[in-house]
Amino acid sequence: MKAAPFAYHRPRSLDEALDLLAEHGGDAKALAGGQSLVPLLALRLAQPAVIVDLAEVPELKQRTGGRVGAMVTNAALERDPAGLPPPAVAALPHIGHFQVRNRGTLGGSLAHLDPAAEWPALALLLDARLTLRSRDRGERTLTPAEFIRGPLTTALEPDELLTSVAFPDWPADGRWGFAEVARRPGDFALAGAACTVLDGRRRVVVFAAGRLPQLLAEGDPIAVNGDLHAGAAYRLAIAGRLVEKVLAEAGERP
Amino acid sequence: MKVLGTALYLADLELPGALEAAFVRSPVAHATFSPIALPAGVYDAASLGLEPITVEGPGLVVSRWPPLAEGRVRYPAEAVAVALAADRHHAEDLAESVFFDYRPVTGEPLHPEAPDGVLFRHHFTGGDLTGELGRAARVVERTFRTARQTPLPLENRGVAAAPDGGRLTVWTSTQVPHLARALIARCLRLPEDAVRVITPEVGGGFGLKAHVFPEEVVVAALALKLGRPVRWVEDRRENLLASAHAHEEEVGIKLALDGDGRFLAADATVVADVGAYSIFPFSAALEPMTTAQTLFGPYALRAFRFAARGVASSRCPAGAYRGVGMNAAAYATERMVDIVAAELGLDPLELRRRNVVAEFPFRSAAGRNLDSGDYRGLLDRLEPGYGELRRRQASARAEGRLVGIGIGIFNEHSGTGATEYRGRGVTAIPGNDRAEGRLVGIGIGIFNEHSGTGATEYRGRGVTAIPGNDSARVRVSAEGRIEIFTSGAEAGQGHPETYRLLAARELGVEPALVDVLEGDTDACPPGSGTFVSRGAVGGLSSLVEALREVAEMDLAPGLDVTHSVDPRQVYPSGAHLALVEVDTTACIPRVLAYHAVEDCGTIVNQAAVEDQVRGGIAMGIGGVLLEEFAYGGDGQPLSSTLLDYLVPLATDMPRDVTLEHIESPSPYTALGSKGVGEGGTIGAFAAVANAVADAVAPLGVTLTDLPYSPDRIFTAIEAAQALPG
Amino acid sequence: MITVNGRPHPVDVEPRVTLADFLRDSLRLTGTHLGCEHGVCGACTVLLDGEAVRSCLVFAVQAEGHEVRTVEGMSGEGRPSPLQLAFERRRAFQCGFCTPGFLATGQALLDSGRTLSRENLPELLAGNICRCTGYAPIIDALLDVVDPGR
Repeated sequence: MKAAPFAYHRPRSLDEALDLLAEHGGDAKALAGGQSLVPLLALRLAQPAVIVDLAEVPELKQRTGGRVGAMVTNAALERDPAGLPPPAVAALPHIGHFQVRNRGTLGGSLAHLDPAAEWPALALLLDARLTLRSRDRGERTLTPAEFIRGPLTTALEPDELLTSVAFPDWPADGRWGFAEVARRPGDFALAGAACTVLDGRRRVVVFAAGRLPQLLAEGDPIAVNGDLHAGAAYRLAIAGRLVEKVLAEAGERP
Repeated sequence: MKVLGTALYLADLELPGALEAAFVRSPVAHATFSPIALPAGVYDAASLGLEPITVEGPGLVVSRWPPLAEGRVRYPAEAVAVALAADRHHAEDLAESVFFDYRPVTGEPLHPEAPDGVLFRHHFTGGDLTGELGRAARVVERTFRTARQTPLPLENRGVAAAPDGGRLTVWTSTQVPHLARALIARCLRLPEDAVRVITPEVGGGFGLKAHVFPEEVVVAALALKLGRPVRWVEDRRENLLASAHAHEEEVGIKLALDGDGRFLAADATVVADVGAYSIFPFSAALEPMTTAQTLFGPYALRAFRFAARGVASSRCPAGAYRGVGMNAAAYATERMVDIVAAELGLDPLELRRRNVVAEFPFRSAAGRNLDSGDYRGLLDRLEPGYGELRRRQASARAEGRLVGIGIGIFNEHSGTGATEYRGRGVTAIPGNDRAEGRLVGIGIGIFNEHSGTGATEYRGRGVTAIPGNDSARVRVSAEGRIEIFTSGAEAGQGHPETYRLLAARELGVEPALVDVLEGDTDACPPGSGTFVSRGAVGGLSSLVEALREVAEMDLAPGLDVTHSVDPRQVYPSGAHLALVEVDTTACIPRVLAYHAVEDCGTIVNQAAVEDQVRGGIAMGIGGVLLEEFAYGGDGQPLSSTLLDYLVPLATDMPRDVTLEHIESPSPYTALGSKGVGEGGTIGAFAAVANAVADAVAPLGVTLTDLPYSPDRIFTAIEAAQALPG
Repeated sequence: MITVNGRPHPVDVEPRVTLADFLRDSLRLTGTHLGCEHGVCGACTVLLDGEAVRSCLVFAVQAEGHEVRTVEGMSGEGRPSPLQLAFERRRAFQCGFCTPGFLATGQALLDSGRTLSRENLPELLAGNICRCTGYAPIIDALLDVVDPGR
């Protein structure tokens, strides 16, 4: 399982990175932590002609308050969670294994948009703001709902990079819950749920149960999808139980 | 040294000038295709002109398996052509550029020789089944299903070949070097002594590498044709899709009982999905027969009947995976025993005690000659732990938790010998006719099991390619070093350590003076390789004989003695006890505690025995809870990565594993040893399954289909709760 | 240049060549093994700037300017590391194929200063697959190094 050939660039600045993407467009893929992309390359499920390695773009590693650069690794966030809302901190140890967290990034996870992944669900739950940038059109900021287009599909144009994610401030009296179930630790979840209760308003997200992470309004049915690991009926039932569980957790947490 | 990273596996070998291979594999299940003009560096069946792989024997339809497909592919990822380049990256680039026009075939049998798709069938009757059924106070019937799985050693397959003078040297990650030599020579139309097979360090076998595969034949042929070294290192996707699968069976049992819960007779049907071809050397007979002949193995039945079939499908060929059909047999039998216990309101341990074979030797209704054992003793050892677990269960249930206890008692066969194979129509390789020390050995092996048998021995299986003997050569060098060469080929079981121990004991020498070599067909005496746990049967017996001869000759420098043993099948056994909890939120089962009592006859190397039992248990846990190879409705393989096919991790092992040993020496092996490579898995298939079933029994659930995944457990609970009353 | 076990090497391979393949084929450090090449089995684990990573998911060119330690670099002055010795004593391997990956993961855990116990080790080791041992001896080996007196 060896990747098909590609040209490799390692830009030293955001402008340089964006230049490369503008130049190569759909023929290029940005490389963040590689934990999702490199397996696809090895399996030859993706064969971009150009890889743009973002490892040495300093702008993408910045962190100020609740704004986290796209290239900050999950491990770095685990070591120093300052600025991250509590549900995100709780979710971190569930993301793969520690070796995967050493390389995998916040931005990479969001740009890849695996429906079972934690970060897209957390972005949706926490109503984060995602900043995208291209050379020719500059910066734009999207809500998670605008950013998430479909499984493995985001609003990113071929010449755009996700540069940072901004999480809103967490109020002192905020309550929350997070739960996921997987057959083995580090596996993609079979179903997951998370909630926040802020200013008395409840917000619930279900993930890994359906095609996409779902913001669940009162009375909404949980959208589910069956696959190799679990059928739709299982996911529906377990997701429902997890929603109850996280709401109970939020009720108990100060 | 393995901890230093200096051990050399197939992919690590220095092969100057070697070309690396990448196979062009079929993207579809069953299709025909026409030859195409091939780019330079790509070879197809026509360019190599190889003999097909075939296996013969009673009950078998001979499937013809061309090493590279000839105009027809029969399963997804079947090898169609091979691309060579200076490195694997470029070989894959080249392979990717080759396109055949596949014309899917529907409604046609895979093999014209088997129009009904049945590649193997066999029937057996022992005792007065009709009479016993008539006398029965109760008859219980159930059908059980085991899942398609794959052995998944951590090292994938690999083979390299290079011409050497007028000969061909083949390095291959194999458990069966002499069989690899035999098949490669046959398919290349060479005399066997023109081929030398060498095994490098092997990173796990578990039965997968006890076969000889088309890729090995093709790489050897390429090296010969091109006059230069060629290597193929399998990748994990190929290993999942196209190496060997196993364990996909449906077992129907009808059990007749008397009024006291004594088992009188069993009537069984076993149907195994054996994939697209009869695998070499074990054939399509392996799994259905090992299952059928092992059903109710430890129990004293008065009559027994089975009908066994191996049915072809457009899937990867099935072969041996640790425990082989004995896993399904132990699983189905022990689930049945628990179901009967529940129906009768009897304690499961007590019901077993009432029915296990109590005196040895014992000829079972299935025709197996159980050499020695102490099955009641195995159960007695579990008794205290069992009582403790029932107390733990009671308090957990009081908390609303779903906690179950499962027992599995089994015997197995190991060390199938030449006489056994010949009795089944097996053609032995000439030159191994030494009669002395013929040891009966068919222990239901844990170990790269092959020629599955059930209650009856390999009779009627007719696997033609296995010689059936095991041999050992002991040489004393001029400096007084002891050199041991055997016909075995370990994949991590620690043979050298055990052989050194034995040599020290038999010869009175320091272990450091002993050199061990396996896996070089030029230096090692011919035999069967390593599978069906034969290492402790014929393997150790032949070694002991050779060592004793050397001892008698006072370790004279220059001595070079070889002994070959035709082992008689023997029967290790074990009783395992598992405590499993099923979580009530997501129905995820977890093994909390495990107690295994094993009887592998005389223990030669206790540490190595415990290594095997622990590893075997882990695989059994995987087999019951996690491992399942799935194909979609369109015939496409779904389990193509290690996130699809799940194997146990450190978190899947119970925190408490207690191992105990009983020794019932076999009268048929030199030391009384019987083999232990597979018992851990066989016992776990029974104990873990019963524990999960016991955990959810209060909800009215009866589980019959493996694996007991969270989804299957949930679905069964929902179905049971939906039933009226 | 990439520093491997303390020595610098130029990275003169195609960008698509993984760090794992570079170590194995260009530097002939074959102790790092390939079990899956898609980042699940952990057999290819090495220490990259002291962190345990799957070397099959890093391209060699990405490691330029960084430090890599493989199993071959764990013995100092010809003496195996305490963890390697513990693996031998505890029979923490059979076929040995997963062993270098477990040694890298284990060494990273030991170096991290994190508290290691029988309770948390199974999950910390869940990124490495072993098919032979049933994991208990590997956990025992790590605990031996954590607490040599036990």
